[in-house]
Amino acid sequence: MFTIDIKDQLTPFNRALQAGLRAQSINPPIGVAVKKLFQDHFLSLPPNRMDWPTTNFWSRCAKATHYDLIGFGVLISVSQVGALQRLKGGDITPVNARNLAIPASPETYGKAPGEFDHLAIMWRWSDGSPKAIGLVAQRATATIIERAKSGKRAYKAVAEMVGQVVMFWLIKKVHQQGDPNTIPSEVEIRSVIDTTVQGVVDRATRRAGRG
Amino acid sequence: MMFNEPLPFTEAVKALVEKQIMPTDLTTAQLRGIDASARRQAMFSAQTTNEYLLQLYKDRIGGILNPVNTGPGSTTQFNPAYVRQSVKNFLAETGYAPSPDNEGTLQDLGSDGRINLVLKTNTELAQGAGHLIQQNDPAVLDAFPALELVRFEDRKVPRDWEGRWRVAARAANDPDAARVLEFSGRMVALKDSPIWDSLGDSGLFPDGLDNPYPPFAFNSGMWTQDVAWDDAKDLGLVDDDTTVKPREIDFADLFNTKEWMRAA
Repeated sequence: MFTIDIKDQLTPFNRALQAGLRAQSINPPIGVAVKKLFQDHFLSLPPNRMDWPTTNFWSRCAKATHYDLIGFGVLISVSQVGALQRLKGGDITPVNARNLAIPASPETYGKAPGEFDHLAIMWRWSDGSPKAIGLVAQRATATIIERAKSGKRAYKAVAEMVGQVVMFWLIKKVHQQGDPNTIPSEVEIRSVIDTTVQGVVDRATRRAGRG
Repeated sequence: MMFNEPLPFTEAVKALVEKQIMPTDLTTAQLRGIDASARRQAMFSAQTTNEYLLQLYKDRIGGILNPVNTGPGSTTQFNPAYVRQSVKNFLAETGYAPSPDNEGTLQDLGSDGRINLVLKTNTELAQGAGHLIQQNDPAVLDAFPALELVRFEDRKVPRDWEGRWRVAARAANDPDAARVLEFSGRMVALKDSPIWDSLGDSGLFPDGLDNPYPPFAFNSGMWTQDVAWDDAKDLGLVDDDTTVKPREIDFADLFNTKEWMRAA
């Protein structure tokens, strides 16, 4: 979640003030115009890189975008967890857990480990001690049997194969690169503001001209 | 300048926080028999009689709408996946078990489909109400006199929204809205058009949510966006003499609880 403050030193805004318009006539339309710019931008962004079923994250960002009038300016806010992380990047570490659980398949994308029953921990030896590296689901079992050489039973089980699917990878930390293309560019924002304010000025001037 | 802490979508948060919890045995179809304004004011989930579950939903959805860090970097409690998990954990703790016929369906309180529907619908209704208020500002109306119904999310089997638009335009007696669709392919109408009430009218569309703001139907991927004056003029919806009136919003209707609901 993040907020962008649009300052009022822009030339179009000053023109509007000179035309006798007040901030409360100009700022709400600016808020709406920039909000729409952000919404359209979010909706144009591609879904997840793995091409897994979408969680509609960008649509949720678009719906959570709103504006507020504060003082002499406009604040655009995107009240959606994860938006700022994508914009600025940074390290993601677990809170109230030992590891981050990273989805390993389309089935688990957008889901939490607690939503699945009977997940087992996959271990690996590292530096002389076991390390949890994944959460697996047991999907199939097969028992290998062979003819018994002696004894009452004709066959005996000699091994069991278990079909396991990694559902989540467990890691201590993820570093995500920031992406400035998460939001519209400053040039685009200024252009939208310029157009909006000019429209407000033009309509006010036309009405004033008609008396 | 950029800030890390956004202002909350106040109008949306208020729309949710003011809702009263109303446990009910009513089915979704029966719930629609209750006046729309009453339904708008209550946190409903069909056939969910456990008020603690409804309160859990309300708290979690409030967190999604207005995520506030309670610890350093901790935001998982506002992630829909963890909200689903907390609901499932609660149901397990209460010993809930669906009937064999309902297991995994929308009637199963613990199914992903059911939980996602409750989360998504109530979150979006609060956001939709908030956007309606901002869209209705007189200064905004002057610069953006119309709204467009647009698709925000794809669906495997989308509804025929153009067909619904034509039906709603007839019911609303708004020939301009119908004309704009036929000539431009866009679903645009003035903000004070009654079509925005008709689009979600459950009397016209059984899956309607009876609100003048999106989502207009259950699990809809459609939303509305403001249309600028010049665009509306090009579509023939306004001219230089047009004044679009603010929609009359009964805030008591949108956010407050009527006396009979309190008594219940």
